[in-house]
Amino acid sequence: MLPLVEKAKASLPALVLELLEQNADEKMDAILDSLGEDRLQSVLLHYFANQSLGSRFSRALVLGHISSPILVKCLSELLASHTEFVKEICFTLGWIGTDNAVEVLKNSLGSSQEKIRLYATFVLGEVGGLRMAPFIVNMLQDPSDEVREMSAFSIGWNQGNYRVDLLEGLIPNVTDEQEKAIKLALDMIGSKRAKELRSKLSKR
Amino acid sequence: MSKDPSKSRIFVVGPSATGKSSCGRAIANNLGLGYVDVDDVVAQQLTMPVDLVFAERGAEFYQEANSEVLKEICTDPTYERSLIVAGAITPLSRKSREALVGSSRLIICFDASPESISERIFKSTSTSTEHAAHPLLRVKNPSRIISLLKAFRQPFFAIADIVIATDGKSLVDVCVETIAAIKEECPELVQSSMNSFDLVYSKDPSKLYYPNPSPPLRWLVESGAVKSGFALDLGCGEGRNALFLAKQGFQVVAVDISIEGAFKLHLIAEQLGLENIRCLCEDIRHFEIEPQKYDLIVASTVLDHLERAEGEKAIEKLKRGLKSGGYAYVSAFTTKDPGYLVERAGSSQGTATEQTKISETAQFVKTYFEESELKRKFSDCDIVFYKESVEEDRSHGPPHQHGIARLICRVPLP
Repeated sequence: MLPLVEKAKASLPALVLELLEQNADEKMDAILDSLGEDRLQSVLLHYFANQSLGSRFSRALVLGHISSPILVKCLSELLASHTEFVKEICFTLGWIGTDNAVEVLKNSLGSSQEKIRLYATFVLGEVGGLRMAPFIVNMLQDPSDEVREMSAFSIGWNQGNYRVDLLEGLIPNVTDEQEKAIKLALDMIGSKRAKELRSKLSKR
Repeated sequence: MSKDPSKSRIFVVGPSATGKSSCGRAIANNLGLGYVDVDDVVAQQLTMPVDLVFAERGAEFYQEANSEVLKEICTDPTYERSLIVAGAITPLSRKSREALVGSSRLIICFDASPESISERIFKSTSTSTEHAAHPLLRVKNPSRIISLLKAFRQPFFAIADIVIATDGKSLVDVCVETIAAIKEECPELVQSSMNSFDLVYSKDPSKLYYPNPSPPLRWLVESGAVKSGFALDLGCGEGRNALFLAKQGFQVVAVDISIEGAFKLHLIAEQLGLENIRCLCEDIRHFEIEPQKYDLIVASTVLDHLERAEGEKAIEKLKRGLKSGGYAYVSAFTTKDPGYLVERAGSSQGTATEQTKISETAQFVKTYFEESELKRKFSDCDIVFYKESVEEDRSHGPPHQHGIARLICRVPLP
C-alpha cells in the first residue's frame, strides 16, 4: 500500500498543474484548499525541486490563476521552517504579489537567516512598491554585506531620487560598512540630489 | 496558439537588452505597421524622459503611468495596425498585464539568457557614453543580479504568445525570425503591407538582385576623388554599393526598408569578414541623417521609389548629411523609362514593345524624374558628373530597359 500512496503523493503536483492547464481556474483554489496545509506544503516543495513543474506553477501564479490565501500561509510557514528553497519561496510570494504575500516578505526582513533577508529584500524591491521603500532602506544597516548591497541595488534600481530623503535620514548614525552601501545606492540613482548627498557623506 | 485574424496590434515585450527597440522599428517598417514605443508615450505624457521618471518618482509611479498608456493604446483605434514596444518591467504590473492580455493582439517576447544580457549591457557601456553609468554595472557582481532579475521576471513574460530567443543572433536575424512569426500568426495584418522588395530579394537567397556596384560610383572611388571615410548608402537593397564601399575601406552605414535586403547584406558582409558595415532596416523617409557626418552618400534608384515631395525632403537631408567637400552619388529613373511610358498610357495600355521592355519591379516606382530634374535638385552643389540615358538591364528578371539619370556632385568647400 505504501508505495502506492507515495506514488499518488508524487503525482499530486503534476495533477494540480494539469488542472491549471485545462483552465480550471475556479476549481483550482478549491483544490488547493482541500489539500490541507501539510499536503500543500509538500506539493510546493515538489514544485521547487522540479524546474519544469516550477515554471508552470509560477506562470499560473503570475497569470492570476491561483489566489488561494492558504498558499501564502503555507509559504510563510515553509519560510520559517525550511532552510532549503528560500529563493523559490520568496520569488513565489513575489509572483503572488498580493498584500498578504508582500507582508510575509516584509516580516521576513527580520529573519535570522541571511538568505531569507537577501531574497526578501530583492523581491520587495521588485514588487513592494513605494510603501516598502522605508523597509528596504533599513536593510542598508543589515550586518551582512550581501544584504546591504542588495538593498542598495533595490533602492537605486527601483526607488531612485524619490527616496533619497530616506537615505539622508540614515546618515547621522551610519557605520563605515553601512556607508559603503548607501554610497552604492546613491551612485545607482546618479541624480544631482544623490550626488550632493554622496559628497556630503564623503565629507563626514 | 490559434490564429486570430482580428489581431490588430502587435506587442513586443521582454527583458532589457534583448533588442526590443532596435528591432521593433525595423520590423514595423518592414511590415508597413505603425511603430509605438510605450516609453516614448509615457515620456510625452509626463513631459519628462523615462529615466527621469524612474529617478524622480520611482518605479511604481512609472508602472502606474505605463499601465494607463497601455490601456489607451489597446483601445484607441489610432493604434490599430501598429507594433508596440513595451518597457522591460511592463508585465510586472498586474494592471499592465490585464491591459495587454486579450484576444485582439499578439504578444511577442524577446528573450535572452542572463549571460547574453550581461554581455550586451557591458558592450553598450563600452561603446556608448549614454550608458556609461548603467546602474546594473555598479554592483559587485552584476551577472548575479542580472540572473536574479531574469529568474524572477521570467514568469511575468508568460503572457506572450510567441517567444523569440535572441541569444547569439544578430539584430537582423531576430527581425527576420520575428517577421516570419508575425506573418504566420497574423497573415491578414501583414499581407497587404509587405514591403514590395522583400518579395524580390527573397526569390533567390543565393543570388543578388544587382551583383555589381553602380559604374559611376566605382569610377568616383577608384579615381581617388573621394578617399575612404564615412559613407551612407540610402536604399541599399542587398548592398551592391555598400559592399563595394566597405571593401574600399569606408565605414559604411547601409539603410533599407526591406528586411530581406538588409538580411542578405548582413550575411554577405559576415561571409566576407567586413566588419565596417552596419546594416539598418529603416524607412529613409524617417531615417535621421547626422549633419555633416559623411564623406560620401549614395542614393541609387531610391528617390524614385518615394513620392516626389518625400524625395525632395530626403534630398535635403542627404545634402545636410555631407561634410564640406563630401560627395553624393544619386541615380533615379526618368520619364524615358518604359515603365513611365506604359504608366502614362494607362496600365496594360502601352505598346507591346514598351510592355516587353519594362522592369519586373516597375510597379514599385512612384516618381519618374523629368529631364534635368535631378540635376536641378542638386544645383546648389558642384556637379561632377551628370548623364541621362536609356540603358539595357540584364541583371535581374527578363532583359529590360531603364531610363535613368545618374549624378555625382560635391558639396562646395567653405
